Amino acid sequence: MKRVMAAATAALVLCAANGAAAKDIPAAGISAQELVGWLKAKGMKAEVTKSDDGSVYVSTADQGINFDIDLYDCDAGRCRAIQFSMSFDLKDGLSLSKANTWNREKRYLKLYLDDQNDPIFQYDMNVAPGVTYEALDDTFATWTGFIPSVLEYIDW
Amino acid sequence: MTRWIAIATAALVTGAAGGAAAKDVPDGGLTVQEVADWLGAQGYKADLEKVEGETHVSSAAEGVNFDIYMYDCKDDGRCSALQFSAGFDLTDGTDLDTVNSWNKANRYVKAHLDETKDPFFQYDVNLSPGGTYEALDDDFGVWLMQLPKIKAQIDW
Repeated sequence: MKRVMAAATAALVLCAANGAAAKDIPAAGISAQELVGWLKAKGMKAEVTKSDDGSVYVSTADQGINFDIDLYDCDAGRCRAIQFSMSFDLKDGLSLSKANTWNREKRYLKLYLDDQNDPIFQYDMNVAPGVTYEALDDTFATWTGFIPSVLEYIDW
Repeated sequence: MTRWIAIATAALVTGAAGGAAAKDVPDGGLTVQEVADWLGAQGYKADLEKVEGETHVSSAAEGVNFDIYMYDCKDDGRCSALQFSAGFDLTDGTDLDTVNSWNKANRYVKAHLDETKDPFFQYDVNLSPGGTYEALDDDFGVWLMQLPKIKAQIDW
């Protein structure tokens, strides 16, 4: 019995350790409200915003830059993919050649120009199945880590 | 005591179920050999190729050759990020509008042109911390789903 107890206790400790290191996002995905809670727990401003077509997204900001988190592949309010997106209204826009150089040289973030040649930077992430909050934090750090290079690249 | 054992057993079961649903990628990420093994186990070509001292995995699916490059690697050979990349040698190349419209309309995969106007499509994925094989499988599924769309975009 003592041996069983020891093994069971070890398992408990192991499970607890795993839980702390890598808390799972539910298999059905994350909700907009949970994203807001996750951002607010980091001390960031965040709110659920409704777009014209009725879908919801999360508005937030970091380093003085506003950006959105759009939710995709949703079912009953839980979404299995998200997209970080930031756009900039430039006076003269950007050239396609400059956008191409970004997409050639940088990892993770794709850049495209809209009809006014304004740049939009986006980064997509699957958040289910098999995704942990630790991985979400890591991807988010990648996104926010890119903000200074984005600003420098477009002379913001 | 009985109650304690019951709780501990429940934890064991939960721990085991969690492990089966989402096998963790090791701390620090994957080695290039482990990526080749993972790909090969799914029946895909997975050749290791060395270019300028860096080893990557060469594979193919949907009639498209693609490579997997390892990033953020440590001395023990474990890498915390990878990039799926497919390049196409076109007779006349393509134009910047074509890649811009790809980057505008599609999630996950970014496109660029090289110096000879040949298009490249790339998808970056973080592996660690907090990554699981289930999430990697899901990300690879995204890549496979984009390949037919990529071919259509460039008339391949």
